[in-house]
Amino acid sequence: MSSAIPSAKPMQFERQATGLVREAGWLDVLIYNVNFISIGLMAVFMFTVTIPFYSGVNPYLNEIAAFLLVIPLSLVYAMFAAAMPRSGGDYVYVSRTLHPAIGMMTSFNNTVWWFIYGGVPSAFFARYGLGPFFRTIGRMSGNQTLTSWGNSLVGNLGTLIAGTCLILVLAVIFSYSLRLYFRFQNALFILAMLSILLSIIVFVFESHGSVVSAINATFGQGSVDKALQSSKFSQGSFNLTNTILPMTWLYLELVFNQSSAYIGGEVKRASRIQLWSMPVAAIIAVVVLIILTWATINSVGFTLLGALGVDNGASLGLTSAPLFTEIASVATGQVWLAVVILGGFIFWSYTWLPGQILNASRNLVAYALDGLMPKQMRYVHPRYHTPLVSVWLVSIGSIVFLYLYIYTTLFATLTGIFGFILGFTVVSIAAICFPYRLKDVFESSPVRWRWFGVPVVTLIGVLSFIACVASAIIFLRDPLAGFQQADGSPYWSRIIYNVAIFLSGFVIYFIARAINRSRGVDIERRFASIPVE
Amino acid sequence: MKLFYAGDIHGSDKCWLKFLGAARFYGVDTLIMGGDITGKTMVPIVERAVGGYEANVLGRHERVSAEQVQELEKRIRFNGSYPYRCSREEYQRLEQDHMYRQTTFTRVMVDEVRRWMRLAEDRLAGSGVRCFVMPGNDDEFAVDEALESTYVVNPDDRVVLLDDVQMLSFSWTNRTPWNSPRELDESELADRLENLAAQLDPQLPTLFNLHCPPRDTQLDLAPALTADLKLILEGGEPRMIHVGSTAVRALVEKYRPILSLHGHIHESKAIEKIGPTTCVNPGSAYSEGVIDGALVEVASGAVRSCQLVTG
Repeated sequence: MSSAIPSAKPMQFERQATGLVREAGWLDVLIYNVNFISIGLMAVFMFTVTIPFYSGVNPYLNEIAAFLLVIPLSLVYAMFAAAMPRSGGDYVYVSRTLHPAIGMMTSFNNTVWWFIYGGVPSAFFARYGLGPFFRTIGRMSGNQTLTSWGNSLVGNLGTLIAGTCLILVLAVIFSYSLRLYFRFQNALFILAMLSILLSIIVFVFESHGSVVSAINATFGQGSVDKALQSSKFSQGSFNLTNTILPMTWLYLELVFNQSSAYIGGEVKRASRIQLWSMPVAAIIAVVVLIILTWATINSVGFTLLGALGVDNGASLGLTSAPLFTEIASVATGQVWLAVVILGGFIFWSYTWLPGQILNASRNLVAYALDGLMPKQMRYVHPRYHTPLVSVWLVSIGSIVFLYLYIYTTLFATLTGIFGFILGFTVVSIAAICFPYRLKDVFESSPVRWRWFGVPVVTLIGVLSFIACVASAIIFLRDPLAGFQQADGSPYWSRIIYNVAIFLSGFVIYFIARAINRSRGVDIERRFASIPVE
Repeated sequence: MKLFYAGDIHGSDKCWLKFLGAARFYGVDTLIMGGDITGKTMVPIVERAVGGYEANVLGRHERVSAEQVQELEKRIRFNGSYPYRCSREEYQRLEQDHMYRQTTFTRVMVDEVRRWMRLAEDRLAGSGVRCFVMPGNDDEFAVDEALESTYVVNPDDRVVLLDDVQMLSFSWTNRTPWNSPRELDESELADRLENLAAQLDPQLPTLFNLHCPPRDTQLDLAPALTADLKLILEGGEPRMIHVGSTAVRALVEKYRPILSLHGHIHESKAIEKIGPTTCVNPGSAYSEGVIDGALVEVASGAVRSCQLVTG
């Protein structure tokens, strides 16, 4: 039994019993959430999409807007994670609060998008990771072969081959041991943060003139002027709409700051880390991004950044727009520093992929265990104890979607985020209802706060719901989010399959119920709460 | 035979009531509680000199009036803790006197188990439902006596007959970092289990009810901990390790029961086959007021269906 010293306020007493553990270290949880955000990709989209293609954008206001839209949802997840620490994840939150079929719908929606989005970071691996690394190191060192590799990797075939290899390597690792991957994860994260930090330092100390000289020296004299002239880019006067709309490109990364909700654990005291780590992760990411944005604009210049983005690398002899890390590397003039900056950045390019494969495969195992999917999906290798069938199913699915992402217009980078928002909207509704539908869980939780008699989680849920609806509207109105065609008309097929995927889990639930019922198994009782009389 | 198996409810009043209600809800004839029924924390509710009470609930200091104290007790019970009303003087003694604290905790715990047994008698009388409640490694020995009642059987450390199936039950586990009351070294655990298995009738189908799960399965994965019981994360994910018993696994492999029911590791909800044996750990989320369980139908000496449920 725990020892005690006399105190003014009473304390609780614990006895020797298994399972009472201390919370994970705050740094670990924070890294986990920041890692899922991918600050690097946020910056890439800011400099290669937002600044070049949204005339009159104020990047700082844009970053703050994205943060404000994400933060209520972070708080919803944080409060749910504190109230239901053992069963992290929206599948459980929504199932228990609203209905199992709605929980399945929300969860399956996420799972399908994790499948599909397996294709996106694996494509980014070549486009923003390996490609820029080789082509810039090649240019700086005068090695034509490396440059050629880099340009090939950024092309369609190179992207497909590199992405497929990455998915296969991860699938093999996950089939053998999860620990093997996670052993490297923290080290890679540190290298990735170092890449950002070095870029900031370079831009703080390098003047605009020296950056221009370095770009010209590396990519050919006059290349900067050529890019400025051919792009015809001008900053334009402040435009509020164009400041709000590209929020979509940051939302894509920032919204995953609640990933630690999936880390459960029976802690000695109520989870406080969960309560603050999710919003703090978003704050850290946005603060780092604002500093990086300021340093980059200050050094490279808004107009040149815009011009390089619109020019898409053509004037520099590249097959895509140069990344800020490439400009920082070139500005240093040091190949070894370029290796550190561009090498560390490779991690940012695919940072979501391992989590996506793992989360999707775990969900498939959970569905199979619940009788909602064929039982083969819960197969676990007898020696390595890894869910082989689901890992490979997700991995093969990701390769298929990588191909579709590269070679078809079936879906664009951002289209699936709309699907995720539909799921987040349901989680927000669950938060609104939580204190009323699960009264005893709420009243016994560490988040049973009230404000003027109204549960705080309900108020946050309302804010989150409003933010989700606003985000959905912004996605539909953003001309580059993939929901509008070139002539401004809606891309109905993409809207329809987003809604169809969202509803598919609901349909699967009832199909699975019918199949199970024909076998004499009632899956309704799998989720039904036993009444307490 | 249709049975509902659950475990690791750790003092949750709501989970116990749900366990008793499971027979009618799922239409089963047998209820099995696989151990770890008692709570881990006692929450003193201290009388204040100015009236009312104060307590530390989930790390928060709360003050309530005399009218609100029952509601506070209900909330404390919901999380599987034991509320204990006392004066300031008694609280100070609890703080300073280790033995007194331990004795009081045990007394409160046993009283609560007795109350649960009375509830079981109320709910199960005349229902024809068999109810087996076994302690687990976290349950102190004082609890065993309280478990015996007219409608509840404690099957621990023996073989009991359920129609044409025999059930072998054992509450002890291998060593844990917490040094809980019922832990043994693997070799000793193997000896105890073998002695128990000697009582089995080889002609009858067998069911194991072992609190500890078999080693190296999906039923025994728990987060790795530091020496001071802190979660070890790798890349942000808890590092999961196998903590089940090799002795339990050897027993399952040797005697090949039709079904092996386990608990102990709350995070490891799973169904897995070891040879012909269906091994089940329904997991536990007792602190959220839900009972994780397994619904199993046994007919003609075989497992016809096995479904995990969250009630």
